[in-house]
Amino acid sequence: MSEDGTLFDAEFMERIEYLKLMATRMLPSRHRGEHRARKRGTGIELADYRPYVDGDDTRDVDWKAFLRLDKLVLRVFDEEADLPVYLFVDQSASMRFGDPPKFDYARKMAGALSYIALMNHDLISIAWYGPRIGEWMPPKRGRNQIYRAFRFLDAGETGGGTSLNQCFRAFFGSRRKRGLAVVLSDLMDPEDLLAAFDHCRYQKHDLVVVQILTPDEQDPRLPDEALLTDVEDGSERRVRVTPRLLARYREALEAHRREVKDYCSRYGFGFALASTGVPFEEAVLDIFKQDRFIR
Amino acid sequence: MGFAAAPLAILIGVLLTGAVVLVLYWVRPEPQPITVPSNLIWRRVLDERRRREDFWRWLISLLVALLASLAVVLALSEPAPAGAGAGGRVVLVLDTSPTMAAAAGGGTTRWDRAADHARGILESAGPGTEFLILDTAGQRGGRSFDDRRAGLEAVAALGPVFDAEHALPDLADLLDSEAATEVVLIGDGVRIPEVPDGVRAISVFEPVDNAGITAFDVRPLPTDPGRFEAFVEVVRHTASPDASVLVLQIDGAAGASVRRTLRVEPGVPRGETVPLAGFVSGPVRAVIAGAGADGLAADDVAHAYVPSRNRLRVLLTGEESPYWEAALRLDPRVSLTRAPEGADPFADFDPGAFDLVVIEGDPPPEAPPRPVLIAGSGSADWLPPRLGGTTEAAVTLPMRSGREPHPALSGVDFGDALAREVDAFDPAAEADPGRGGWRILAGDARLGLLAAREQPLRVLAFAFPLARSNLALQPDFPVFLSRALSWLTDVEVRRSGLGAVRVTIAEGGVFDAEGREVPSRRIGSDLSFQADLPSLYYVAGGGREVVVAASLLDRAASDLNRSAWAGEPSAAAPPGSPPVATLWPILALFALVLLVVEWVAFHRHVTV
Repeated sequence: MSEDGTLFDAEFMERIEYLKLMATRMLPSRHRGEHRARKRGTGIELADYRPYVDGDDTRDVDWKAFLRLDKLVLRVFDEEADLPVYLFVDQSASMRFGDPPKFDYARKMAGALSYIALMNHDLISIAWYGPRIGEWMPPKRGRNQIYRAFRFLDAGETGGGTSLNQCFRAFFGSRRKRGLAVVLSDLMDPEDLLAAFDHCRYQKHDLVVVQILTPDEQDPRLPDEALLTDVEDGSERRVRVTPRLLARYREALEAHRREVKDYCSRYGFGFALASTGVPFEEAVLDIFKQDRFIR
Repeated sequence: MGFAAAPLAILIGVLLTGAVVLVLYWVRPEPQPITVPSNLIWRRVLDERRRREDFWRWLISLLVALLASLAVVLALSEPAPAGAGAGGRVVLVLDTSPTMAAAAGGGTTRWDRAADHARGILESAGPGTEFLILDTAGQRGGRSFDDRRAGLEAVAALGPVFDAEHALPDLADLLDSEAATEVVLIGDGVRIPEVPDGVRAISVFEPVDNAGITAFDVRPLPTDPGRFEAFVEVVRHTASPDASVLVLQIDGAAGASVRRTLRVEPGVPRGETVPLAGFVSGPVRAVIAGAGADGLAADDVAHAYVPSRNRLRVLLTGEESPYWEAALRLDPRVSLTRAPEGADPFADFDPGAFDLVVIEGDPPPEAPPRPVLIAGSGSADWLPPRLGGTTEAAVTLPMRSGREPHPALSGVDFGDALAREVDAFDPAAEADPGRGGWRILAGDARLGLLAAREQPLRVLAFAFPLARSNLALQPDFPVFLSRALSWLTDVEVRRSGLGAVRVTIAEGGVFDAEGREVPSRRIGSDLSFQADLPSLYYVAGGGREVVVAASLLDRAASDLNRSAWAGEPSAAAPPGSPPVATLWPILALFALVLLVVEWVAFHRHVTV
């Protein structure tokens, strides 16, 4: 955080400008400012052909092809649409751990993603979540909304537990325009994460899950005898720390990560693991590499 | 496998081990509180571990603890391998005579080999076997059988004894009543040649050549009591019929030394008189060497003490006695002071300025604070009790035969000395230590004419005035007087054999020739110490000093080859590493290692 207390200072702006440049180079064939939805619709860009069936709009029949082939062939267009990007930032107590704290790391990533999206004329909506959906910034479009997004992110605070399932049920329970949901969290959620993702999937939203962990979480350094207290629920576990136990912890953490990642792969969602030990822009680029955020 | 330990000991072992295991499990460090972002992953890990590994960890830990407990219990039970023999009662009689200190080859002694045999029997016996350890010096006189450990301790406490009469202990009760299943005598057959029926003898005898000093004495020349000579007797025992050449060296104080080469026939003692002309007063030591193999070091050295030749300051008091004055003035060492008759000599003269007080006539009521030579008939508490009345008697010497002559009377013959006005001492005083430790030197069983005592100061007392006898006219009287003066005023020297020495002396200490203090203990009015090596020992206390010249000087001890078992082969060395002796420490160590490994593994989380 900068000296004036804001996460989004001049240095941050320089770094997301770099990100923007990198994103442009990574996706040279894409049209800036335009995103094609998966939905085939009434756009002007031809996407494909398919046989005509009853009920299709006869305006889309390719009559030249009919003359050549003596068959009714329908032209299919990509539907041009604004891409709403829903950023869900975990504000539970566990996010305050790490150096830098996972929460700051998540906010910076959210800021960077917001900037990139707004620069691409996308709709941006940011929501805090913990045990339930907290304050949220309604969808905004336009480059001039970036500072509003920064102020929103800068004002966030940590505390309480986590329940992404409850949050998604509440958030996507209302009708939302289909878009891209980005979850920035450590995913230390005692409830069923996959059930939460199912809400997103059933509503046909795209999803990118970013798991943010500290190096200490990935490779704990603990004394021989430790009494571990969960900062969110206050539960205590006494452990005798051995190399074997630590290895088993790492295996369990990896299994937890793999469970989420496999789910995402199975349903075509994106997943990225971000460590607070590496600069946040590398994590953002990792998200870009998944060819989902910028199309 | 059998067990020597009682069931109670086994039970105690189980309880102790169980307690140790429990304590080790309870002693755990307090956990350090750590706040973590989430216990989600830890819960999964720990829940999984509890289900599978905790069980195995618990099972392994229990097995290790049980194994350690079993090892401890087995160690405490002193297990013996099968076939080690049934329990019984074994009597071991160990020959502790001086010849057992003889060399037996390989840097050991006959005693070392005997002790090894004894330990071998103890350690190879079956579980439950009881032992009775006896010795020929009577150091262990009990008749109670004990376990192996006590037997080993008893053997370790024994060794050759030089100052005791050695004899086979009475084994009749053990043999007749069959209280013992086996009686074993281990020795060299020199002092204890007879082996009773029913006793198994183990011989550790090996012939060995030996040369030794069997007599050593420093004595004044008969012609000049102020000069001394040493008498040394050496002997050489060897299988060779040829004479041996021994080098005798006598060393005295201030670097004085005399060296003689002696030709000694085998087994024949050879006496040698050596004038000590250049020797000053002080310790003197005789050493023999050059005899080839020597089986016993203790008899190669002997010690004595050359008496003082300083001037003697003598105070003569009492009745006028021309005899005393004339005789004393004849001795060139004497510086005589005559107290006037009737005067109180102890008021007019400082007794501390004199070395000796000579009194003619009635004794003073209190003993003078210096050694006293008195001739008179009066009674005093510090003199021996008298029979009462006066009589006439011949002064006969010695009073009793078969007794070492008193130093004052050595070589003295009073001839036809006759005394009148004899108020004789009671000879019974000699037998009563409470009367002052007097020794009657002249007279007969009814009349004590001359008495002497050592404590607290030396006193030589005639039962009659010298003027009332012709004793002073006897040819040997000057010799007697010279010897008496020497005995009364010289450093008190005692000759002693090796072993326990008792000296009647007040509170004090014992020091060897190097000035090191020798452990001593008080027994009644005596100070007792152990003279294990030939040397001079200085016993000092209460303003008195006694020099003890400790030497072996024993013809029988020097004759190492006079064994009744000489024709029998020496017993082979006992087998090494008996199983019982090494099994329990191994088991105990095994248990300890298991406990330590378990404790470390548990607390260092190697297996957790």
